[in-house]
Amino acid sequence: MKFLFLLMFSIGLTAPAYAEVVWYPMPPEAYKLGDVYPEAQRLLFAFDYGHALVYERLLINRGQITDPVKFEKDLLNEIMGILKNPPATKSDEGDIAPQYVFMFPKILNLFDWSHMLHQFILDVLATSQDRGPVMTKRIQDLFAEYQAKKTLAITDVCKTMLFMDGHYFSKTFRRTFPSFNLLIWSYHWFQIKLYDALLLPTKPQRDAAVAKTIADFKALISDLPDSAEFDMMPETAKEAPNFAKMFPKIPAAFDNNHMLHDIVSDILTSEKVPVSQLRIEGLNMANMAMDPNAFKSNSCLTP
Amino acid sequence: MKRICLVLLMATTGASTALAESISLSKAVELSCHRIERLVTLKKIDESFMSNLGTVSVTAQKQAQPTDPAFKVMISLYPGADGTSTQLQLLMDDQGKTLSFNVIAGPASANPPKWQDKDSVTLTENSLHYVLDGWQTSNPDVKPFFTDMKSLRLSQIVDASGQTLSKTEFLSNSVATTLEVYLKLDGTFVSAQVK
Repeated sequence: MKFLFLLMFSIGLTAPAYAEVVWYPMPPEAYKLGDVYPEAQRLLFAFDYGHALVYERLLINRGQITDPVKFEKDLLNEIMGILKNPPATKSDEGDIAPQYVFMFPKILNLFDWSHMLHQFILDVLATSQDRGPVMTKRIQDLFAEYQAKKTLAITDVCKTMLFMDGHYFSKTFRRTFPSFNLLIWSYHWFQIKLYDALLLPTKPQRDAAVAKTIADFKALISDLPDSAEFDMMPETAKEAPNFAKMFPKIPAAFDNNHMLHDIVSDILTSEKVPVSQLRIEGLNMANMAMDPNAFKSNSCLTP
Repeated sequence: MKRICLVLLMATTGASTALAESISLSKAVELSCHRIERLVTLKKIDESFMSNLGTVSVTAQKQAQPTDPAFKVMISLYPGADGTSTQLQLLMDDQGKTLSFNVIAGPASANPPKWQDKDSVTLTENSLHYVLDGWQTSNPDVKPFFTDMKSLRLSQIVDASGQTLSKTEFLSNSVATTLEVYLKLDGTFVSAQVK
């Protein structure tokens, strides 16, 4: 009996601290973007990998980074290697970043759920034979399904930039690791830009627009930090105005997700956040991301 | 028919994007804060621009052609002993993208406020968020400062309870009143008034 209790206790200690998020049933279009635009899909897989890797390295090297410039340069070289030869399948964050997964379980769940919505919308846009109301309804249905999971959905009410920049730990990441930060903003720019590229009415137009988005992304990250001219996080309504006009509730949900990514980067970088507070801040910020009233903006960007 | 509808929608939305309105003067100033931060982080300008910002003025520029600057933003540090300031001039397009920057050398700031928590640019930016976000709901009197901002001045005060605050005074081209925004040193909002 004692042995059984000990065994169960051990399992409890080593089990993942988060429950895997599952979209069930999986949409029939899921991950079909890669059939039509394999390079774009592989880059998106690489972004997931790159994000997780940066978070993990920041966490395991916390308090020991004596030369941030060298740390950034070395890790950037590693990530550029991944971007030049991106994975063909989605990586499991638990494999790449076990400490990060353990430290930020709720945020990870929100990211997973939101990333699935991102992915499935791109899948629909890339593959739908109908380019009108059927496609539009399909995206609206996916968004409704996303929102229905109240415990996982980041709010679609737009927030002020103070959600990202108004905390005691804010802006540390971008000031300490400007190239990393611009790389992550370039990831977000790419994801957003694909929406408008894939909304174009004909396949040849979409092919050309996706190819241009990939080329522009590569130019953005070609000589960081100077090659990426962003002063602030790219916003969906500005970078994908046609998508924002057709689906006015979705951009804020994505922008809030992107802000939450920057928040995690700041929490992990700022020495003002004690190690003992990391998990708690992660939970606080996840709750704010879901709360429609937290940092609610009265002047949402509209296309 | 469906395809025609979508093509028409795309054409319409595309046109609306092409005809995107210019940003407001206050938004141009907020974007200048982001640019200062970038320039300092990338070591293109001195870090005193983050710590000693004193005033910011903005003017709309007449554009002979679309590629000409739409805004000129002048950032001045706290003045030196001789009363003059080091300045940064930003020229922006009509969407607030910086086209060029130029530092006008001046003396080191004499007795600038010591900001213990957030830097002077962050405090300025947070004050601007009240202007950008607050005028539609909480205070319609703020609208002239949103649409037609002329300048701002950042200073430090001690309130009646002994608390040190940042005070940002905004001027507008279209009204004679002044908007004052008060923040705690961690950047959180305290109060605002139009005088």
